[in-house]
Amino acid sequence: MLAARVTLPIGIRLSAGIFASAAFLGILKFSSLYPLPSWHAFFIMLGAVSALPLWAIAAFDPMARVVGEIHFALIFIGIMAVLGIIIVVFAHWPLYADVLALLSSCIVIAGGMYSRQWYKLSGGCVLFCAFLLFATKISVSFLKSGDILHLGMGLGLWLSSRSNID
Amino acid sequence: MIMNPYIYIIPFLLVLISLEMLVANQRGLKVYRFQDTLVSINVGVVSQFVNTIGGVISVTMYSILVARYGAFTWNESNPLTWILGLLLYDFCYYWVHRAGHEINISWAAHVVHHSSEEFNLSTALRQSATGFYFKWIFYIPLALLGFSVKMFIVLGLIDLIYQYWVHTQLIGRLGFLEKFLVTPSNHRVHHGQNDYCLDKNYGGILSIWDQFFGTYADERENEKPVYGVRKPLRSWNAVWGNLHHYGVIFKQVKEMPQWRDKLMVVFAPPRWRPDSDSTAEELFDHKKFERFNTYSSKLMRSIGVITTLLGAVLLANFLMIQSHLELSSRLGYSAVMLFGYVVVGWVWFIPLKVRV
Repeated sequence: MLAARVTLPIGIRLSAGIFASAAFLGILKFSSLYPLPSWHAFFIMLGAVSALPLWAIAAFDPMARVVGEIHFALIFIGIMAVLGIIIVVFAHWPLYADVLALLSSCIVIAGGMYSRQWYKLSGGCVLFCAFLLFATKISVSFLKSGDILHLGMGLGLWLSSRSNID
Repeated sequence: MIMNPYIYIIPFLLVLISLEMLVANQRGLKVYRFQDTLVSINVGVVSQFVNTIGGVISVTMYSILVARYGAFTWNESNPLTWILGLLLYDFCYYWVHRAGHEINISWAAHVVHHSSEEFNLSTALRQSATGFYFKWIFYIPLALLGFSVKMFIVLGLIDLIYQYWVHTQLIGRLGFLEKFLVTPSNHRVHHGQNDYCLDKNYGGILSIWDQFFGTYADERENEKPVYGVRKPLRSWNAVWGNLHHYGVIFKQVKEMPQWRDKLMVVFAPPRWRPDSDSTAEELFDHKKFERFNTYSSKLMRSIGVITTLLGAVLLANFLMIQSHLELSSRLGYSAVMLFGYVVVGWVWFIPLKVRV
C-alpha cells in the first residue's frame, strides 16, 4: 500500500516496495503456493541493507534528496545493495545485515525524537526490539525469533510511516 | 586451451573498418581522421587488457549470485530461452547505458567512448576500460532468474557485437526499423552533442526501451549530429582518455565546500551545477564547434601505425595465452602495456593545435 501511494516520497515507496516483495515472497514460501526461497532470502537481504537505511533516512530527514528524488533514491538503493551483496554474499558476513537493520532503527528513533513525533519514535523502538531479538535468536513464549521479526517489522514500519501518511 | 572469442572477432572488425574507409573514399566522404582512428583502436586495446581482469570480476560476481539466488533452470537448447534472455539482457543494458550517461561517476567510465569527434566503425572499438566496476549490478535480475554464466557471457557478446555496425555515417535511415531497432541513424543521435541529442537513444539492440521510457530522438536532416563531448578530451592519450573525467570529478569535489555538493558532483548527472542546482546546460552552438586536431609529421604517423600494430599483436598474444597465466602475470603484462600506451600517447601526439 505504501509502495503504491504516489503522494509519498519516492524513497519511502521504493523501500516499501522492497519490503512488500520480501513479504509476498515469504507468503509464497511459507504457504507452499510457489516457494521461491532464494528470492525471499535475496529480498530480505536487500531490505535489510538498502531499504531499511533509506527508510531510516526518510524518518530522520524527509527532505533529503535520496528520499525525494528518484535519481538519488535509486543510486542509494543500488550502492547499498552492492555493498550488502559484497559483504554478506561474497565476504560471508551476514551479521552486516543485522547491524545495518539495528542502526537503521536507531536512526528512526533519533528521527522521532528530533521531530517529536511519537509514532516515529515508537515505530523505531518496535523495530529495534524486533531486530535485536531476531539477531540474538531469542524466542518469546510461543513466538519464535522469525515470528517476532515479521510482527515487529509490520508494526514498526506502519508506526514509523504514520507521520508521512497523516 | 580456452580461446578468448575476441581473437576471432577483432580481425573481422578491422577488415570492416578498412571496408568502410574504402566505401567512404569512393563516395567522397571524409569520415576518418588518422589520429582519431588510431586512438580509437588504442583505447580498444587498452580496454581489452584491463577487462581481462575486470571481466573476470563481473563474471565471478554474476556466477556467485546465480548459484545462490537463481530461481529457475533454463533449457539452453531451446531458442526461445535465448530470445527471452537477449530481450532481458538488452533491457538491463539500456539501464547500464542510461546510468553511464546520467550519473557523473559512471559517465567518467563511459565518456571515453564518446570522446571521439568522428563517427565511424573505429569509434565502436573505443570502449571503456573502467566500466566493469558497476555494470554487473544491472544484470542482477538475470542472475535471479537463473540464466547461466555461459548465457550471460554469450548474450553480452551478442549485444556488444550488434552495436558495432551502428557506428557508421554511411548508412542512412532505415524506415520503420528505427522505431524498434538501434540503427546507425538513431545511434548517431546518441553520439551527438547537439541539444536534441543529449541523453538520448540508450538502447543496445532494441530502441523500444527508449520509446517506452521517453529517451528516444530521431536524427534531424536539418541539424546533423556534431560528435564528441561538451568537455572535450583534447588529448590523443588512450590511457588518459579513460581517466580524465575522474580527474575532473576529483577536482570539482575538492572545490565544493559542502559535503552535500561533493556528493552531488559524484552522483548527480554530469551537467549538474551547484549555483543553479539544476542540470541546465550552457547554450551550445553546434556550428561553432571546433574539432581537436594536432600536427603530426610522416615520421610520427609511421611511429603511430607501428606502435598501434605492435599493441594489437601483443594483445592477440595476450588473449591467446591469458588462460595459462597466473593473475599476477596477467596484471604485470597489462601494466607494462598500459605504461607503453601512456608513453606513446604523451610523446607522439603532443598537442600543437592546428585548425582543421
